[in-house]
Amino acid sequence: MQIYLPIAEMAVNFWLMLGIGALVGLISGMFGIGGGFLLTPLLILFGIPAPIAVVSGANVSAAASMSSLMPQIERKTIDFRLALLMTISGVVGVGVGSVIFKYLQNIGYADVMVKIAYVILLGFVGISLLRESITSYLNDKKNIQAAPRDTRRKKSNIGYKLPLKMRFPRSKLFISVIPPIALGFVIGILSALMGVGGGFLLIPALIYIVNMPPSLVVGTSAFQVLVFASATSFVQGINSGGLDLVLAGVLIIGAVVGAQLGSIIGRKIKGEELRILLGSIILLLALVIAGELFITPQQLFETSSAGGGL
Amino acid sequence: MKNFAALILGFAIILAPQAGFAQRTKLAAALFDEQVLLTSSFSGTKVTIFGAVEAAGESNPDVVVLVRGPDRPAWISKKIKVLNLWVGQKRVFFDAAPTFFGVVSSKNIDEITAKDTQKLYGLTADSQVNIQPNYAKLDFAQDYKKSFISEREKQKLYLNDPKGVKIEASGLFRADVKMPDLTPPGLYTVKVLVFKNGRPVDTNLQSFVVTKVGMERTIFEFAKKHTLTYGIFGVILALGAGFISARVFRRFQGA
Repeated sequence: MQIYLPIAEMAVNFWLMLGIGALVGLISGMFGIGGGFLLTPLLILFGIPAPIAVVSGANVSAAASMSSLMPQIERKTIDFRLALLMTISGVVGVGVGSVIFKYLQNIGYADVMVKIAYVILLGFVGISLLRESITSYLNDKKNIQAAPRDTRRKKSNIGYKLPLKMRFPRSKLFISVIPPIALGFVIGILSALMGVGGGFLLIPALIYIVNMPPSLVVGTSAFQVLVFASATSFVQGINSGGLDLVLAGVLIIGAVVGAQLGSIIGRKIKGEELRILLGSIILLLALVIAGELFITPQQLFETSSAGGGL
Repeated sequence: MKNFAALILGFAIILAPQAGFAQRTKLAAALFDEQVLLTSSFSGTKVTIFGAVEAAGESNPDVVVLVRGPDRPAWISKKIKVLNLWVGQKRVFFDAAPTFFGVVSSKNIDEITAKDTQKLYGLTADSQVNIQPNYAKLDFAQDYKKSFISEREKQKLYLNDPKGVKIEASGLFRADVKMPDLTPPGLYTVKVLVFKNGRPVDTNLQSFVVTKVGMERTIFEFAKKHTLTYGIFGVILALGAGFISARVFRRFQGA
């Protein structure tokens, strides 16, 4: 069944878009990430003009994260104080990031720098996440009586050493505000540079740098994604006029249902297994981007769209 | 339907016995539909042109029909290697390129007329796409233009169908031009040309409108006129959908 998009000025397959929405929602609900890193390239692959894919993708991420956030609110598995702190510094980071991006563009190597940095970052995060979670998973299987402190990787205590300590009652932490603020700021810069939310970086960082209890990580990250994705959909939508509500609507129907299923699955499987999955996705993403750098692209040419958006 | 009356009149004039008149090729043509509606189920359409041609002399006339969509600025970019990595791109801008350009004819256009005549009368996509002056000097500009045209051909926005015009022995003809879902809204012109011995002898100009209707039109116009409200509405819609789905699911699980 084909459906015509009024802003993109083209027809897409309704069921295909519904399926893409559901897949992205599932991932978003399971891990508390936006899924924009998956959705936007998929939309572009199916011929949606890039500005429309970016804005409509952000809109769908907002819906998916709202859907996965609701059960977390009811279960009180969000540290709002920490999330707000990171969101505020994140917004500043987006501002700084867009200035950096303009500067890199003027030099002419914006694409190279950003992509190489991304591959290294994602590769590092993916490998360490996988190593930690697999080790911990195997130890759990082999010997349940093993001392729990041995099975856990030594966590950073940077938050306890730095000044400006603040109490985060929900996370049962009394740490410096510097790591969460710095984290929000860095994620903000990255989302401005890469055009993706950065949730997949936030989750490991919350576990290993901030020492947040793993049960709170998914909800707290989803809150951050919600704010970022809503802001992107609104600001970019006004700038480029690329929000196609028919496209977003179809994707959202799939995404909100997928997000609910995702959060049910996420609760059923163990923390280590969830981290193994997330680590694999991040590593796969790093490999795909690295591949794009080295392998001759199938489509060398890209043209402006005949219809809307541009 | 009012164009049908004109068409019938045209046929009557052409097909009437012509004793005493100076021998001349005559053409009458009309569109089957004067508008194409972009509804929510639009996935491409077919534009049909009916007509009649009455040729003087022995040789049979050839008919070429051009359908041309609104012009828009366009660009093409090609991925290139920088520092041995696929990261850079080169771009060529076009001042104007038709968003849709369909050429249908009664036989292969090269058999109908010479290349320079084709160019003069704009029968090829190549003669319709104009490179921006400051890009025209670049050595790769012409290659990029060719690639641009072939990309649009892949999208079925530019097409060339040498079997698209069917002429009866009586001189009546019918031309079908297929338009893809990517066809943008706007004013389209249809030019019918009759060639004889490689020379154009008569032309006829028609036009039709491709327009959004119903919900598609409402959304599009609202988005353009009330950008801010539309942006806020989009976010509310997304968050509302997320909220409702979570509530619905909780009820299912609770039950």
